[in-house]
Amino acid sequence: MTNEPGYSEPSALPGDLSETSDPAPVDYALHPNAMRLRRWQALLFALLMALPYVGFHLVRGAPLWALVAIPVVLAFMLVSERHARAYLKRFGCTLFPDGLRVTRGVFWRSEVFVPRARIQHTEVQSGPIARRFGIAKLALFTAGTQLGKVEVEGLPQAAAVELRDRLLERHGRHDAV
Amino acid sequence: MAATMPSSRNAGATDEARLHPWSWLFVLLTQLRKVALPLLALFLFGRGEWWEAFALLGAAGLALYSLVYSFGFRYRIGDDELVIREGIFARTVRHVPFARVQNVTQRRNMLHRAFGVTELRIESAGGAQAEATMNVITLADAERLERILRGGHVDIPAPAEATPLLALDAREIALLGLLSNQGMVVVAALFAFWFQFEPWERGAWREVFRAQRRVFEELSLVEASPLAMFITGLLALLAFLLALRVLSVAIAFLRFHGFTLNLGGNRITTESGLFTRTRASATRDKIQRLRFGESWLERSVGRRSLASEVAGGAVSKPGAERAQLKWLAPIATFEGIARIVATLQPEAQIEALDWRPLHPRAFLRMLKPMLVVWAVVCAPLAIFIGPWALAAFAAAALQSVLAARGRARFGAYALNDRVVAVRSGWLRREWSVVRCGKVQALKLEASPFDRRHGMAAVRVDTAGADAMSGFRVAYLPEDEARALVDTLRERMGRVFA
Repeated sequence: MTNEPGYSEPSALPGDLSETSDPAPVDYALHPNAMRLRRWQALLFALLMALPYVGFHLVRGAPLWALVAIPVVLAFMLVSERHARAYLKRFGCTLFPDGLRVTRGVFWRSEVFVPRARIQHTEVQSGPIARRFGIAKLALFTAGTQLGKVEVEGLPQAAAVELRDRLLERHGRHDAV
Repeated sequence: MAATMPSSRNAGATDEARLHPWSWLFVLLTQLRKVALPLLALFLFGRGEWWEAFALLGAAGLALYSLVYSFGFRYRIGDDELVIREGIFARTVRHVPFARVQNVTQRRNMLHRAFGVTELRIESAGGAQAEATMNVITLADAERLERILRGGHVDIPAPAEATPLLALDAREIALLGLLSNQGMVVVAALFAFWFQFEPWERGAWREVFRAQRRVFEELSLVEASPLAMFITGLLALLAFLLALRVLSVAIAFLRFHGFTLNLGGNRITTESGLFTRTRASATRDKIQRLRFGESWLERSVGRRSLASEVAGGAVSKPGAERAQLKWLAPIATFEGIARIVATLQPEAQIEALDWRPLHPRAFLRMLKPMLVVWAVVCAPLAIFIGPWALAAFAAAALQSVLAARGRARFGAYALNDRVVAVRSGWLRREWSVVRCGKVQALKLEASPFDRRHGMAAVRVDTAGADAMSGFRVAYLPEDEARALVDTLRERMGRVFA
């Protein structure tokens, strides 16, 4: 049930926005562990980037040069900490009767709206680290090009599944293209 | 490939058929064409390294695989779907319902025409493997398939002649060639080729001049004075530019000779090409976006172009050739375009839309990044050419001011009950029109510079769009951008156009 992509047909009935029992918009909050997950991801990224550099200098027999990597990694972690905090504070995911709106971004801000009727299929995934924190990533696929895949990362696993189910409850034969 | 008895619903339903017996030749040629250029490069520039042999082997292996693949290909025209069986190791069965088919493209080069066959490509909506390529089948079978897809039955003759909407004659095609400068592609390739010989070496240019002087002395026409050399250099450049134009016209003829645009029932069909004849068709209501374009030159002779984006299946391979109806009118007069639009999608008449302007300070917002970029480019130039760098910057700044002013003035968007449209550009102008029911998703975006000016951009995503240039309205006041998104949301929910 958790990681199944589902293919569903969208609604073709005009004015048919009342399939959900709840007409008021519902906010989906990120998992409290989302910050920790981001920290881990940043650390892994920094280590991965530093590895070739450090390895190269160690092989050359210049461990002092390799040590330069440490303050750089620390600085990166500090910056990414502040950025992640701001990012998670601004992040918003709201389910409306007609679709999902995702607000994100610190410097480059964006609000993506995916109409319910345009969702071709969905995916709920979580990587190994995310799973340990109980966090999942919900991906919505439309027939579009640049917004053909809209991802929401950091939701609790149960919430992601619930959101997916609520987005997919639709009827109709039109293929939304 | 005989038709079964009319007990089935579709009188054209067939037993399982194979591709044309000569398919292997066409597939082989297609594969060879793919590897020909790399192989040629290998022969010319290769240095006999051992791994180059592996590359050759790999290429040969690929070609062989495709050949065998084409032998195992089977297709069957069913009651309401096309059934395809393919694959060598893993046999796949694909069902393509006729109702879901959107794009059908035929491609025939000289060899295809000699054999009376064609390569047929079918794209349908939804599903991962939505594309079917049949390389090759007979023209008769292709006709049969197309007729069925158009909703008729095989035995019923083709419906009344399709309405011709546009037919390009030689004069228009020549004009297209002259205006569109397609020869530049070849120039770019030549440039890349020339770069292999390291022209930035100081000695290279001296060699060129020495060669020029030698030519003069050989011909002993005129004394090799600097003036004579300069004039001949100039003449050579002019001759080159002229050759470029001629090349452009030739390319235009290759692509668009005999271009016709027809509307038959609900299906739009275009056919064009000199040696390779391409015939693309799509359903009218599957048009996702209409794109109009005119360069400054085209505008001065009263011409414009019109292209469409039709939704295909999932893009299987990025960069793979899309079998798509694209050019509705590579070039046509303003009235010609208006007539085509009136027939295909009357709500998309760009002249009739109510255009709303951009943010009043869009000019400044556009100008600033341009100036910054030019400053960054011109600053290091000062090392080489000293104070002239300032003059260069001044010239660039002037161009930027004109460009930003032109774009800020011309840029606009329109929104009514049925369509949303955007126009942009200055010398080269473009319009995009999307029906509200074709909008897939919306995005309101603002960069830090946008936010400082109180502006935002709205991206309207459609199916089958060009990855580089999606529909986007930029430099709008933020509240107006939000209003646009909200209105579109509401309209999308209402209509499934």
